[in-house]
Amino acid sequence: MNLRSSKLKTFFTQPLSPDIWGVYRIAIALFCLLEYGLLFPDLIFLFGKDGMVIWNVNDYLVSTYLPTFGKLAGLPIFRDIAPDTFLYGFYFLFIAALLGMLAGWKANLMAFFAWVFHMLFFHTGRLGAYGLESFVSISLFYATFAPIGQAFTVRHLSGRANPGQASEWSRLSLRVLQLHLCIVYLASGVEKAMGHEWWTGDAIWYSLMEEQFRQFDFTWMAEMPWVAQGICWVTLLVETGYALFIWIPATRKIWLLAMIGLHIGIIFGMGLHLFGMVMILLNLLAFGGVLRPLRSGKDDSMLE
Amino acid sequence: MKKLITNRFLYAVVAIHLFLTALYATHFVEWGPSNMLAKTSFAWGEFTGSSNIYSFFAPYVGEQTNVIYTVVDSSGSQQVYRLTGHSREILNRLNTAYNFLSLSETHDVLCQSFAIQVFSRFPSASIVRVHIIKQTMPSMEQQKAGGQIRWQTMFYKDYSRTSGHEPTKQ
Repeated sequence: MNLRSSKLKTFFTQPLSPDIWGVYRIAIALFCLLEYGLLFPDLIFLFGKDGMVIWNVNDYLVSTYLPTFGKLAGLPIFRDIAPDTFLYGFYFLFIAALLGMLAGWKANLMAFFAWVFHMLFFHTGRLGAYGLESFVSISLFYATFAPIGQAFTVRHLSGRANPGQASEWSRLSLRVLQLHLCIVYLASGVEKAMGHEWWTGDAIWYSLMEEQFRQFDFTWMAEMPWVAQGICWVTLLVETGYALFIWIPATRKIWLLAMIGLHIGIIFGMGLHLFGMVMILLNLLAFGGVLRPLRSGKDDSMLE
Repeated sequence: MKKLITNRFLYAVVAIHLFLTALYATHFVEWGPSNMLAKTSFAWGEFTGSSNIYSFFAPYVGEQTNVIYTVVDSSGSQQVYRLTGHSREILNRLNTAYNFLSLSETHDVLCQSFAIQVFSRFPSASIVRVHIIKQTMPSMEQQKAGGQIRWQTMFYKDYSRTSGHEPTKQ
């Protein structure tokens, strides 16, 4: 029992260099800048008062406690500001927070502001939001707590600060991210396995052929249904097996690469570019041992 | 001692967070109780990400809903229009919003909202028809036997401009 408890403690608290979190900060900040940069030309359409889903309707449909621009604009201090000005004001505050986070200046605080602003955009455009927004929200939430400001900040890179020491908090934060991903894929895989279409191959057929996702003509697949069936079965295996095989040293690389391959398929086969990208990023950050060439010379994120 | 207590508190918070993440991933909202504790933990999860479900394309891939707008100006001339944006990302969001139209309780509010957007893009428009269509996909077996993708009308709603951007359902 003591040995088990000691192993568990080591698993969660063996000190870990904060380097991984420095890379996490940069990767997530850059990703958010890319996402919101892409949304900028359509900002008013997506989130404006008379946008795709008007504020009144959106506020009627989302939970009362969730932050939205519609609710915020109703506060006395914002009442005299034109809705579009108000929206652009928050957008640029958000960008500023992301730039601060990227530079590592008061990194956790900047991540907190970025998370708050993202929540505002997320819930104002809630009806158009899909998996991407949830994962960006989760990524920014973890960034508010993890030791993201202890490595690769402007101060560290310019030699004005020493890199942070290995800490229990760094390890625990990484474990939370890793376990969260395991839950995501296990839940997703098990739910897929409950659907008949995922066993016949039709799920992939529909996903690739529906107009909203269609990138190429996959009509030929109907003549070779075993191709679609094979992709479905591999997806089921990779997703349901992730929570187990990602922890086994011998299968980790295979599973990580398979999962990255699956998301590359989503990017190119279904046009869900940003969603695929954020999932690849999170997989690499959680299990990729991405820091191997940077400092320690070995991947110490898993504790074999 | 203080560090020990702080650590224990943090571990407890982490354990609760992961427990809730796993619990809500099983659709706890649908099968669990709806008491105050469940509502509070769900609300908390909406901020932390622990109340998400991850049923991407599961257990089956849903039918696609789309919207076509017919814009009529005061002279009676008509044009068919589709909302788009500057990037693929906008289309992904529009499609997600359109899929909510499969829920009957959203029909009135969402159609009106989309009509307002189209009126703002066409200042000379006097009437906008919001036409909701549904894509029915044949299975691979049906496709092989000659089946085709079909678009069917679900319903449509007409809106006319009265004053400003406030459309009135006809």
